[in-house]
Amino acid sequence: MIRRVRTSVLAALSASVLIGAAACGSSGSDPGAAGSSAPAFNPQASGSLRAWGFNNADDVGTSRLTYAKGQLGGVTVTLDQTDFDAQKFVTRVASGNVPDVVQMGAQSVASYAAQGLIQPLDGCFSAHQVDPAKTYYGSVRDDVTYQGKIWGVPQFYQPPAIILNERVIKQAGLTDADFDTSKPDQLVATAKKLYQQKGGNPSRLGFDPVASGQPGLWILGYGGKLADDQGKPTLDDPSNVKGIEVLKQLEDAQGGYAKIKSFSDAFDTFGAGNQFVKDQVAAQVDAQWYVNVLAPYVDKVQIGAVPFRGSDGQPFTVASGQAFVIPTAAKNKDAACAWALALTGLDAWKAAGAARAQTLTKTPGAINTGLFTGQPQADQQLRSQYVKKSGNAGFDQTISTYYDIVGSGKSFGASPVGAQIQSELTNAIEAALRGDKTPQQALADGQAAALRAYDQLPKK
Amino acid sequence: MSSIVRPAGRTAAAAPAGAQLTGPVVTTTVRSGRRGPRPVGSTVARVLLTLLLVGFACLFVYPFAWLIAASLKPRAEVFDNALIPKTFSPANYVEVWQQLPLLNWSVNSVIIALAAAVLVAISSSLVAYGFAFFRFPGRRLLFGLVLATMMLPGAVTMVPQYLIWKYLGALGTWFPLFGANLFGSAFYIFLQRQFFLGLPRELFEAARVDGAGYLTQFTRIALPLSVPSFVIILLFEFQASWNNFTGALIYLNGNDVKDYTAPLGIAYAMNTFNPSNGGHGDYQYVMVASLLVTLPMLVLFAFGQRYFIEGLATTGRKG
Amino acid sequence: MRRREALAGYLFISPWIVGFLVFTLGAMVYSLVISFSHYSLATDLAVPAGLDNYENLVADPKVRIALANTLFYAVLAVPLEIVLALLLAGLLHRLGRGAGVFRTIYYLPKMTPAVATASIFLLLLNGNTGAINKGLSILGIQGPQWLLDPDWVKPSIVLMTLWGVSGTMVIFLAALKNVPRELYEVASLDGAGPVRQFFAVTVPMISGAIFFNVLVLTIAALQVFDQAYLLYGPAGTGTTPDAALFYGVYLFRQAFEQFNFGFAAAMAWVLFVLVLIITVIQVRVGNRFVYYEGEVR
Repeated sequence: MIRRVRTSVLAALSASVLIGAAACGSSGSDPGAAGSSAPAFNPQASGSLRAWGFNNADDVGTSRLTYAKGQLGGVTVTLDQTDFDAQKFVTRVASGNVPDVVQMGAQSVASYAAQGLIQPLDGCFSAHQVDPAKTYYGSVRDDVTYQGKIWGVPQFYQPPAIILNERVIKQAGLTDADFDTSKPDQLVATAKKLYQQKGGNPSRLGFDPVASGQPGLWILGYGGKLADDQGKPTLDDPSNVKGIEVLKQLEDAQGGYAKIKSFSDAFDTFGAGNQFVKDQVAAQVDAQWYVNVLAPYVDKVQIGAVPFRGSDGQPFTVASGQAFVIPTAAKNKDAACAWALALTGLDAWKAAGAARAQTLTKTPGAINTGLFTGQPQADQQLRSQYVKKSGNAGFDQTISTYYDIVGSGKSFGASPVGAQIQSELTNAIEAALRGDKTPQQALADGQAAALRAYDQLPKK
Repeated sequence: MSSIVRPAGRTAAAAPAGAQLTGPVVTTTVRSGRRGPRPVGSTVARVLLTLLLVGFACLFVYPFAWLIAASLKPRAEVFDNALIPKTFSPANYVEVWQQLPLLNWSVNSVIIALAAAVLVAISSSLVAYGFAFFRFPGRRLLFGLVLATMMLPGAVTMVPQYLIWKYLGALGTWFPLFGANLFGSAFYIFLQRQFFLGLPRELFEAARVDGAGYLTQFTRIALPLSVPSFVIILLFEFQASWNNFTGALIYLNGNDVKDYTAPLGIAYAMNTFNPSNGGHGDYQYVMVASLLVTLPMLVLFAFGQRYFIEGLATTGRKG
Repeated sequence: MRRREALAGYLFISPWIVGFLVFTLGAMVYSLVISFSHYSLATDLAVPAGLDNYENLVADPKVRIALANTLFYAVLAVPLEIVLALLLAGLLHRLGRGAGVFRTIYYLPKMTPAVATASIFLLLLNGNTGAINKGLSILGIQGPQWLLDPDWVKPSIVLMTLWGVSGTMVIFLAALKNVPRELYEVASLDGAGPVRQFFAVTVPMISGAIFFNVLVLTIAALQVFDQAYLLYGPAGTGTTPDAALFYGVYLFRQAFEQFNFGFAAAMAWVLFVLVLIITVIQVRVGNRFVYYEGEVR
């Protein structure tokens, strides 16, 4: 018996030592080329396709899926609807369990492009005769373009604007014109006038700037610059200070950053007791989709909207949409390409528009707020076909405000450290808003950290 | 500060590593009344002390009461801190199963925790037996090493262990979550060895006379007699594995949501429902799920309290 | 016979030896090798990089922040845990009969998975609506913005840790049961009250257990991860302010979000050396004060 134990243990022992040795030995190998030469795509798709991150399980999403399925007759699509997550993505790459196509935030695209984890899609677009330059808004295209190549198939561009709670504003004797972000002093005074508190905590915000949710809007809107043409971070650029200063004045006038954040974290944002129903905000920066959330409560809210205006007084917006990317290790890149383009083609959006309209007919009086696809042609066609007068002037005005600004979007600037730039910017804004650091100091610290990440990128 | 007992560090410093560790065995129970400070006698003092202890108990229990209440509230009231919900929403307990694959997570966690517990209990017992009953060159040094690994921060070996599992092609499987348990674990080896040392040697002598080999002595005598400490190991490891968030995050996050363990699943739910990430703030489901993953641990404790306390007491005694 | 016994001994402990060689010693050596290389996930290859990672580590402001946060947390958490656990154990022991019920209740938080604790405290610690601040306001105290104010981030996590202090308490309770009763009686004859007895008899007599807990809790505190990651990752407040960036969290991010394995391995080795230094210092200092029970006999 002992002998049997011994043999098996010895076998296990030697196996483990071998594994250890193999593991040690393989770490000193030569570098390989990242293989970023643009691959060619075959427009004919077949086989099976594994997709991840497409989480639009609503009518718009399912109608587009159905449409794409019809276009890719012979392809079996397996869909993982969970959200994209950076750690999850790299874990999948490492374990060889990599999907063929992934939907992620457009800001992460350049980062994975720089690491060689995804492939350029110029060949994909040309194989299907899609011209990105003509199809997408310039800012949308620029967000997924890095080092002269396009790395993602973009979808959705939902610009932020300022939704106004007209009920509260009228009561206070103010007008829409008081919410002009190009005149910060006036804006701060307005916010202060409308702000209410109870026991030292906010009970109503005069103006909720959503500082950490929309950092790009405030910084770029006041003329800031987050990255240079190479994607190198420029957080310490003096032009970035203005936006933070305005945010700080705004929040300090309303109880300060921490109290505002705790207050707004407890909003029932998606429910019947949302901040516009309960008059918890007089005005708030919101992306276009939020109008959809408010639409069912049309009788309980009185809203309007004004665009965000840059220092020059012109409407300004910046947003990050999503993009489909194809990992370098994808097993079926041709089907991935065909699927992503089918899902985001004009006809898919038309199907989505029809489905949305169909859904809304089930609810009498429901409001169609339109779809913001990232493509001017699709946006306009759907608007003229489906977005009609709702009978509520405030909603109509809000909807058309979003349509007015969608073309004035600006790109964040694709950067291989785009995600770090965003998180460092958010950190810097929060540190400055809390008063821990001056805006300059906070930005300088953020720049140091983002630059460190940039310098650590593998050199080609 | 005057001290009646003079600290005698000299002796301790001179003692070789691990020398104090052969002290009292697990089962040493000291009869109450002879050791420790005398319990308070007067009724007034007892009442005051009890009140104080009840106060602490409230602090420790409050989060549970809060959690139970929150799990029964509709979304808009989760934040209201009422211990009795204004609106009862028991439907949360039904809906959560559609919102989250809780059943899959629980089953996965149970399988992994069972595998982890059984494997580590068997392997640690084998190793402890070797250290307790055999004389071989380097035994002291090796046992010192066993104890030293207890102090090794897990973060230090996190990356290389990940790469080892990667080379074994085991990423995305459950093996990394219990595979290393095949090789025993320092604390359990220590625990089991202490127990073995307390067993009467004569039993083994008698068995040897009857012709039993070492392995037979282990399976027929040592193991059956060490059931209490074996159970301690099973319970401790089951709990540790059930609560293991980091491991699941590293090794399973890339998998299908249905493959997650309970802790990773809760984190996923917190993430998905978080308004900061575009979730709808459905914290009532997070609360239900949190309660449901905690319950098995409370049941485990209800049945195995004795073992948990005894196991921890041993931890202190090795100091 | 001797050889046979030795051979059998080695065989019985061989699982541990294999595990040690591969998952501990092998892993650490491997980690050291990796820390001198750049790993690329795209190619699955490591390139020798000399001291690059260590140089980057020294230059990275985030490493400094994370290290400072972690040390600060440890210095705050460990003494509080020890004091609270000692206090509770002392009180429970003085109660004598009936203490078991309280011990059970106090132990429940220790059984709660970290994720559940985090999800509860995420809401309890909300600065405006959280129960903790509501409770403080009853006492007339305006509570802080626990999770958002950088000064209160670490106290928040300490609070969560203290909720689970009962593990330490149970160890002290067991140690208390081994202090000879006569010592208290002698002290009592000398006119020492309960407090004096606690410091003059209890603390020195259970100094071994105190010392052990300080060691273990310090090592745990230096690796704090779960709570910080959950409260300040995507699952929690949505952002990680610098004040919530702990060493373990940054190491994890570098390793498993950036796949910057070389850098992460270098961070791990720095942590190892740090833990080693701190432990050695603690043992040196501890040996002067610790009394071991064996010496009585």
